[in-house]
Amino acid sequence: MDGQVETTAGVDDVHAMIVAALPRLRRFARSLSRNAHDADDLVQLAVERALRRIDQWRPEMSLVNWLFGIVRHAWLDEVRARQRRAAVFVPAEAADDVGDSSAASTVENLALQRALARLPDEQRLAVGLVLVEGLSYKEAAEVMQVPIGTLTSRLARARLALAAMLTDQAGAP
Amino acid sequence: MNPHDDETLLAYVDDELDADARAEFESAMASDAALAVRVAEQKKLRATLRAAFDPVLREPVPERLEAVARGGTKRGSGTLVPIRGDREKHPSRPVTRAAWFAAAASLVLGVVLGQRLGSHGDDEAWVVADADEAVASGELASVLSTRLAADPPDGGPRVGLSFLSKSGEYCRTFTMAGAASVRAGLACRSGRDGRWQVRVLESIDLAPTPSGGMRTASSDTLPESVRRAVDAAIAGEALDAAGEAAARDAGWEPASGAR
Repeated sequence: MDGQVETTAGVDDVHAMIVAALPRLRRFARSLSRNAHDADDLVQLAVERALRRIDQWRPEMSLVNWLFGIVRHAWLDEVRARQRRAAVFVPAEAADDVGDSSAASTVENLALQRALARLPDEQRLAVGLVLVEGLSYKEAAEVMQVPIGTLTSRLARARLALAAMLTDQAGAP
Repeated sequence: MNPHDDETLLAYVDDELDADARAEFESAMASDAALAVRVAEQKKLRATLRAAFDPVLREPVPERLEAVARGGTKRGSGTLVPIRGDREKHPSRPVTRAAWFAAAASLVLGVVLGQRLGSHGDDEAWVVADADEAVASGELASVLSTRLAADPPDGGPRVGLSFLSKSGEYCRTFTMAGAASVRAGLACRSGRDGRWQVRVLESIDLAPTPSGGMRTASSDTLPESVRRAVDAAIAGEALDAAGEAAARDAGWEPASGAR
């Protein structure tokens, strides 16, 4: 849908398009952050940033893909901030949405969540863009600002690791 | 093309091969059961991911996100203040370090605090303990790094005053709505690692606003400890709007030789 956007799109149109993109932004963010609240905070932060620099969006890239790129940056910023404070690192077992009734617990596959959480950041982003969001390799490479070969090798490492982790899990007693 | 190459296999699963390569891969798969198993495994992984995350598309989008996407200025009863609940297991505690500071001051921060809705938690998870420090986390950290005092309220934490401290770091006061109270604090950005160290965090007791109206927190509702902390830490004058924006755009890195 975003491919049809023209450069003459007005401000209201841009806002409407961002609203229309929110479900996908939320899904992408959820693939990055296992906690639903954190994922929505990430989307909010990204949308705020996007609106501040909407003039940087070029219609050669679909709006939603451009927004994915901003979500990516916002997430990496957050991850780096977390890594600077080791005390905030939450063990995987403790990060479930237990006791938070307001958290939409749609993503219930905890084994998958844990496996994703163990991937390096850029691999996880590649998985989110290609396997969750269904972007083509070319689109995902553009969002991640890397050559396609880099994208595909990250994706390959991520998926082999995921398959191995999930197989181990399934095989465990 | 090497059909046994991982990336070729995955490109097949992702439908990224052209017709010739696809046909070649399928003929290799027909005579290689192990390859077919690996393809099935990767197709299953893809399906697992879609099954796990696609339901998010059918969830109602939180109104606060729509409000932000529409420009963030339409504040009304439907705009939720995001509140972190007690789901966060890492230690968190409000910290008062008023002992670091002394004097007294009277500062009008002009912070508009909106009504918060819901009652499922408080804001402590926006401040986390790390060793001997309290550090802004999550949205509070984002707000401190990105938002300006003049930005329209969006229901999240708000910044008030920004200034350069006597030790050469940028500090900002903030307020955030919690379950039963509003908290105000002072955070300073550590040049060492870029974290916002929360120096003071105190509750402001505000009666609920049954009308749903907005309240204004000014100097007389800010805790004494915050006012004293600002006065003790501030070097010169607080930043004006242009100075605040410039500092933000510079990533809150004090200009070298500024002090």
